[in-house]
Amino acid sequence: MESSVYKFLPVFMVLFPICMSVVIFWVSRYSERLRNGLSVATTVVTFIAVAALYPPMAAGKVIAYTIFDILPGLGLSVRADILSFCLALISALVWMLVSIYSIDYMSHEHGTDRYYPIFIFVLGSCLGIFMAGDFFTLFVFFELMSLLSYVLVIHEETKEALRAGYKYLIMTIIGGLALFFAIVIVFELAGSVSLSEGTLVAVPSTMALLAFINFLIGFGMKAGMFPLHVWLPDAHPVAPSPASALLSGIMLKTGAYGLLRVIFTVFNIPLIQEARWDIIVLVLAVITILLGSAVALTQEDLKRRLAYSSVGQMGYVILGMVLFTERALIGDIFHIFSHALMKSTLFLAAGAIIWKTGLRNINDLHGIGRKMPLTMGAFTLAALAMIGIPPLNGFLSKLNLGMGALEAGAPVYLFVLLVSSLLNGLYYLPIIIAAFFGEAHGEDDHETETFKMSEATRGMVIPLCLLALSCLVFGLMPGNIFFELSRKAAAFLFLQGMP
Amino acid sequence: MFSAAAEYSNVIPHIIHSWRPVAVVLFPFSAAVITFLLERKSGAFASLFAVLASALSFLFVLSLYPLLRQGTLEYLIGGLMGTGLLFRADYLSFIFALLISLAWLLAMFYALAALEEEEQRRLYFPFSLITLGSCLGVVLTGDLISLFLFFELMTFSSYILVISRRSKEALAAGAFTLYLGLAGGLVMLFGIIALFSTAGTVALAPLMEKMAEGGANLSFIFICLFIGFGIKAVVVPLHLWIPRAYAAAPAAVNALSSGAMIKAGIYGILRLLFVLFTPPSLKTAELFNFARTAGYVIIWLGLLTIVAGAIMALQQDHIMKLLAYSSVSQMGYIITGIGAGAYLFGLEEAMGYSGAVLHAFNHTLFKVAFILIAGIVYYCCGELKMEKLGGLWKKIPLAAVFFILSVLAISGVPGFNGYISKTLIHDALLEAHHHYGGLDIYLAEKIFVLGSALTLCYYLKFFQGVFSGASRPAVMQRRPPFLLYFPLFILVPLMLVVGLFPNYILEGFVLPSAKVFTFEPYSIKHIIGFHFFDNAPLEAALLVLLLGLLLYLPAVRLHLLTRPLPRWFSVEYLLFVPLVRLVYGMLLRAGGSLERSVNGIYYGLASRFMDLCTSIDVFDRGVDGFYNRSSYRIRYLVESFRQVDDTLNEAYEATGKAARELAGRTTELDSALDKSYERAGDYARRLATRTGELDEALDNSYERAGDYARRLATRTGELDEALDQGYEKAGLAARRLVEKRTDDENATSGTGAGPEPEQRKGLFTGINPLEWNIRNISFDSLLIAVMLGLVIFVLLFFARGLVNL
Repeated sequence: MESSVYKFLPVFMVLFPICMSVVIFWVSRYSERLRNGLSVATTVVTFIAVAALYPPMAAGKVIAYTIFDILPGLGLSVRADILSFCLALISALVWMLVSIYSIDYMSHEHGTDRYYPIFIFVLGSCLGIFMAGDFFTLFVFFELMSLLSYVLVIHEETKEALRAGYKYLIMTIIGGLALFFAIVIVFELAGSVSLSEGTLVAVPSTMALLAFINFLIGFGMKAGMFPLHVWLPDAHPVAPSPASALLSGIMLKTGAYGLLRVIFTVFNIPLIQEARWDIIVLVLAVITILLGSAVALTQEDLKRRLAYSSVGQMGYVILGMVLFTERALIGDIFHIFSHALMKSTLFLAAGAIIWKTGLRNINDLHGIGRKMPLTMGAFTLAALAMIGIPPLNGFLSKLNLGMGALEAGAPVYLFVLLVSSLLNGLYYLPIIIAAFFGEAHGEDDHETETFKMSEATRGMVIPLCLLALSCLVFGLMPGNIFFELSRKAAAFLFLQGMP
Repeated sequence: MFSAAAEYSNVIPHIIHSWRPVAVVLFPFSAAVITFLLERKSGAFASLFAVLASALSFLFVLSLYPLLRQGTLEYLIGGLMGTGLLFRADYLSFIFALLISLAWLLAMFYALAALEEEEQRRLYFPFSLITLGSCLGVVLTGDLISLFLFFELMTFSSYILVISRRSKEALAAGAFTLYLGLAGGLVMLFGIIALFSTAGTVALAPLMEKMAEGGANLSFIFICLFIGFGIKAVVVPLHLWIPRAYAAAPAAVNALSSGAMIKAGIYGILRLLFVLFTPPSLKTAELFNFARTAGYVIIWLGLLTIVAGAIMALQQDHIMKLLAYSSVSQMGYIITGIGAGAYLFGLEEAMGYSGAVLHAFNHTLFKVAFILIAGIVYYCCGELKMEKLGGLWKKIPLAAVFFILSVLAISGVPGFNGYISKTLIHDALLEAHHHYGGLDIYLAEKIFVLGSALTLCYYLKFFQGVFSGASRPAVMQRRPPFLLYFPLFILVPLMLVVGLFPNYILEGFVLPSAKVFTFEPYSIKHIIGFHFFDNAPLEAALLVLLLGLLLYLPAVRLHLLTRPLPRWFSVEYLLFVPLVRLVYGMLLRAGGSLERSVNGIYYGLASRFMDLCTSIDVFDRGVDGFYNRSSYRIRYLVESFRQVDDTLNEAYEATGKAARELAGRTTELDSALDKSYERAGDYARRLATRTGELDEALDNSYERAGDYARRLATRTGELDEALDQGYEKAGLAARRLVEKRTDDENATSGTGAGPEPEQRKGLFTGINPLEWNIRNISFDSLLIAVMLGLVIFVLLFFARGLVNL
């Protein structure tokens, strides 16, 4: 009885938001309030549905079944294991908070009747990626998510937004095609693209390498891996801030999730290590890390800086999955959690600043911390977590990744991580310093003395602060649920990748 | 004697599970929160509370003492930060916690009076409590990750203290400190991670063996950790932040930096050398050699720090900067002591160690005193540059007295505390020379003496620049309140106490901490009952003082001290600026250009693709052109057809038009005809009418003519009758005649037909009416007929002329 409920949950959490998006679209004609309420309710229910999977997932169970087959071994199927649960959990959590934030943020925006249904639909498709039981299903949801999020990217409909959106669309299509190609090759080689069958391709061959590279292109595109990241710094800043938070916080992770599955399920560790394919990924990851961090330093636009920072941080995630030590994998999966929390906090904080003051340029943010102490406080907490200051969550992921790098006998990657941390410090700290201690432009001394607090609305500040606090809680607290999940997921994946 | 030494030697520590260290560390944090909240109500109350809290912290630290006598206190908060937070207090921690909280208490007292700006106070009090908490955390944690947590917290919270003036220089100095601290923290993290992954633990315990087993690069880990702590402990060349921070921050902050925070760095180095990198035994020669070499290097690093700090201090005009470099130089003593201790592993190691620890304590005493005196000077004059100060001896004599006492202490005059610690370190160097020999250590000892002499020099410069010399009464703005002097009344007597009762302090306060380490009882025995006031150390101290004076006087004469060293001749310009520029420039430029080139490649690819598309387009256009042309042809054809069609159409149209025109014309014609018909009709009608009229007229005329004719006839009748009558008459006549004649003629002719007309023609003689026929129409009847004809003709003609009209 109970198990059938669990069996039903993965499908429910995917279909419920998708169905609700239609309802929301219909409702939005009649009542804005109802639409907003329904959107939040949908994300909350979805989150509860995801969280309800915790008992079987934590117990190490795997829910996997096929809905129907198109070809033998190719069809729609469901699979929920600990890794997909991790990603679904963080997605649903962030989505829920962001949807609450959206209501106030989007209240003055145009096109909200378009925004909410898409917003909810993308949640469904995102969860669909994680709950997919085979690459075909995954691909369907992956494309759905990618294409629909285009609407979120171009929401502002400005010239840059449309340009960035176009770039995003083109890259996404290329990535999707590469992914499709890879899936076809794997299907040809293995006769199946299911995630439940263990290693699909165990023998290195040219075709297998081709599949690997195409997977790398397809998922790497989404994950913002160098040199496929170019859409990211354009697309993320132009989207409305809640959408940026999701794009950077969650949707990048779908790429990372895909790569994890590719490395540990489609192929396996011995194969990749023997064939030395990991070198491709390692080199690209290192470049991604350093490039993202270095270029972030030169950006003047706050959201653009955050976007480049995302590139660097995704580099950590990509690096962590090819170090092939369990510790690194723990750090890797935990960094997926951490980065989702940190980056959505940062984007939401940037959004609150933009919403309240309209300022985007970093040089204009002097003294903003005294006006919006909660927002900037949240920003500071998340930024410090980004740098990897203990006891925040970024430290924990960096510590584990670093130790994993050393266990893998490659201290150079630890060095890269630390250089990147320093660069993170160099580009985040000036913002914080200027915000709290800088003299505001155009204000005389008297005004700086008697600053006035003018925060964004409560509906924006509360989700923001919750996310920021989660950076602390999930770095410091004992019985850190995300860390435990990462540990289990890493063990699970490692076991799967080590036949 | 040996048993006394054994009391201090390493025994397996008795672990006491106690929450006290946690409380000591967490109390300042919670007090900071309360201070922060109180500030909203009343600033003065909040600062009082903060001072009270720091006093309580001091008491809490003191309260650890009874328990510490029994063993080491430990408390593990499991699960925190993944690995758990381990709080631990042993005797070494206690010494440092004590001096930290003492310095804090005094500095906060001082700040109560010295900090006046509301903005400064608002930042200073809560954040100094947070810094206190993290500083205590550094010394009261039992593993490196927990230590690192508080170490980083200290970096960040002390940043806010440094910038509490919020001037431009303060922000710049703060940023420098912060970034250097951040970089140092990351280097240290590297070391910690490397240590963790090779040794499998981060506990503060001798881990050398485990690391070596784990395949660690020992010197790498050592250097990483040393750099991390060294930045806080201002080891040259990592000292750069301190002069900047001192120049920009108020005295109440500098007192904290010098008195406490840099001691946290020293604490780290002590743990590093004497705990983490202590060789397990003398037998493991490799590890032993490593430790000894590290000690040797650190001795020289310490000497470099002493001399470089002293020379830089001599160059300064800004008294806070002078004090900053003085701190650097003094840290050099401590580091030399630590180095000597490590170098003497297995020998008189406790000598160097206890000298270093005692000097750390002493330095807190006199450096806090100096900084507070400098703060008093600033309070009175608002100025810290010596060229603008002078003659304050008469204005603030109390400060001058304290200053002189502190100078005596720092330059190692017997009877003051500096003498004791310096003598210990000096002795450690002598022992090293004694054991290992060599010119280098001999030289090291001489450099040590020179450095001590320089210490005296720069404080003499300070004194001359600020207290003696030309009095500048204008610079004195206000008198200091007594509260500012209060900390000095505690610090200076303490210096004397340490200086006068060195053995008591050493045995009661410093040596118990040796239990923490694995020192040989032999080396501890050496210190117990050390004769500080023997001839040899006294002579050395005297030598230092004389040398100092000898160096100072000519230097002043030659104005050597006011001539600054060239700007480029500094660690900063020789090492850091190029390094930072190189790395930063490389990363940024490389990153930027890579990003640009990747984007360029994409756009290039895109444009190549577009080119391809364009070529395809050209081809397409060719194909299209073909189609186009064909279609053009077809179109042309169609066109021609259409033209034909058009022409036809036109023709038709024209025809039509013509036809229409024709029709029009025809219609016109028709209508004209119609009209003409009509007209004709009209005419005809009119003609008819006229004809009618004519007819009538004719009728009339006929009638008339008839009439006439009738009348004529009548007349004719009458005429006839007349004729008849005539004829009758004629007839009668003729008959008479004929009868006459008949008689005659009867005889001649016998005819009878026409006798009557001839008879009617009676009028006309000779006419025979019977003979009236055409042949014999008479002229009259012809005339009448012609006349009649003529009338008809005239009438007709007339009628026609009417029609034409």
